[in-house]
Amino acid sequence: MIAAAIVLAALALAFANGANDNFKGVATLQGCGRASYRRALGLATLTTLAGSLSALVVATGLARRFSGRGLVPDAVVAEPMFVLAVAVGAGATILLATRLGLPVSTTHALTGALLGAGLAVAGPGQVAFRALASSFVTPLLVSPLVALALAAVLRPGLRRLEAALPAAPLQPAGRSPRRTSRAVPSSGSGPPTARPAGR
Amino acid sequence: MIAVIAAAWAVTLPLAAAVSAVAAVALATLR
Repeated sequence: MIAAAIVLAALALAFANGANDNFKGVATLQGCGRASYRRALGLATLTTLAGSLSALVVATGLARRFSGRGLVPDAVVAEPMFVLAVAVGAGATILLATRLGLPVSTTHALTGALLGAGLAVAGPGQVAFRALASSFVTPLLVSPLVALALAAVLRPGLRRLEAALPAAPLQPAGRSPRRTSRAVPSSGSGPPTARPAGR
Repeated sequence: MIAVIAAAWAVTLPLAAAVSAVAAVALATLR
């Protein structure tokens, strides 16, 4: 009975996660007009499936981290009620946030769910707050800054590459507000470069 | 963007903690 409830809660969490996160990786493709909404969604689904399958091999450490090991005692992690509470808490939060239009982050939801269930089941004295800071909070704080720095470093080079390459045709953007494109002369001697409007 | 990230910390994480804590207590009570 509890095992079935855990499976159902995990499936609900996966559904909520997929409904929100699937498109994130390809949103830029649709936003800049390089792919239609449907095509971008198809690419997102294919690459997410590939990522999920590769995670079976390369993401065992991640799976272990989000099991709660190291954050609460192993005896608590092995408790089915703890697992069910985490899945229900994270899944309900994501569904609620989706419904209310709140920011959705599965990582934040899972971290909060592990913390809340850990505090309720094991008590504050049994929760490893130092591990929480090093394994969850710090990566969550640092990763946007790393992405920002990498994007800032890569952008000039990519702009030069874009200017040097022939323009690729833009896709009809489907539901994108940026449907139109305009041709602007490139800075070099090559053909005009098609760029989406508003850039 | 910063507001969205900040809201994830200020809303999503505490909300999940609260929901899972309530779920844990409710499940323990039901058992």
